[in-house]
Amino acid sequence: MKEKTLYVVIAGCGAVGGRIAGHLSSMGHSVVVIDRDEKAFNNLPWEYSGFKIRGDVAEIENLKMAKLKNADAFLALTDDDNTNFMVTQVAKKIYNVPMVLARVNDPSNLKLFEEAGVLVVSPVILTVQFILSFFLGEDAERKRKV
Amino acid sequence: MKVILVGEGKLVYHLARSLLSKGYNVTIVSKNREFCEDISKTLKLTVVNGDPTKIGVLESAEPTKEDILVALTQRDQDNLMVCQLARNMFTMGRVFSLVNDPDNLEIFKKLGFVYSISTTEILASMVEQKISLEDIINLIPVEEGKISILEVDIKQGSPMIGKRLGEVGFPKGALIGSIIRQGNVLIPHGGTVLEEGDRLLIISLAEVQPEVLKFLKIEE
Repeated sequence: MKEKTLYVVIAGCGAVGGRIAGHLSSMGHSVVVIDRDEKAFNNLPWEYSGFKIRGDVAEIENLKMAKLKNADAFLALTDDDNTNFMVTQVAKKIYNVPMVLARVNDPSNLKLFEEAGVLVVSPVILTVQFILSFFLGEDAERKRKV
Repeated sequence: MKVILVGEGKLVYHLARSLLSKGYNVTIVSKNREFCEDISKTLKLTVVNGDPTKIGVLESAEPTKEDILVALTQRDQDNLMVCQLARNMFTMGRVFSLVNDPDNLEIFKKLGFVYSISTTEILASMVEQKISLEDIINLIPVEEGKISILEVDIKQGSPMIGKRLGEVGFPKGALIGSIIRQGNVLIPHGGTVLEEGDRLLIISLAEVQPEVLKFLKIEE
């Protein structure tokens, strides 16, 4: 059974943004990626069939062009927390996008994003948790042997 | 009470200088090392060198509830982050921000930062209304710019000279609050006759402002 096609806008087409865009696009969702650096689009896999907008995401004009108001989800995946914070707020407060997620690079910013009602993913915390999982919990010993 | 200025460049320098001359304590937080060194040599103030969008750096500026913070960097996302930290982490009540891209004003206001100013927007709207700047001495936006107070001189050749206020048909939504005539302040009424050289203090709704300026023949 095919799931509903979602309209997803992604800010930042780096190693993370490019891969997510590729996956979502091959899952059949409509995707728009925005990045100010043309070269960033090299991170998209060849099968990517969505749209690309070259421009600074911090300019609302570019978010408007991406038709953010129609988006089911907005992902702020740039490597700059301040940019991610501002654009997620635009998505939430001005365009009422139902799902808004940000990559939070500096863990000390997590609280601020969460208080502002944004879903967060922290590469630092994930890395730490992954490594610690080899040392904590019931199956830690088994994991270490693999 | 102190004023914390965040950012660098001429704007920060001149604002710091002007605030110092009025007797305020000023602290500057800037990423730019060179700027920090320069300004600490020329002005008597506290300087914190570091990224102001990091809690730890901002904390070094010792913000308190009573202090005022003004975010003046070139990047709106940095200004917004500084404002958010100042309010949410340091419970500062008076947070001002420069908004570089006028399109970003909306999100600053939506997040409750009512003291956000876009100089671009102010200049753009002035140019748009083709205001000859010499005629407007002062323009103070009040309540997020919904209403403004204008100070305008009645120059030679104005069609309003010699007419009674009651008969000139001043636009609705604006009123002349007071007239300054040769250093004296008059509170006008319908029978007051305008003279050349009068300075008018006009209170006007934002949407009526272009009409008022047109009426005063300030528009070219």
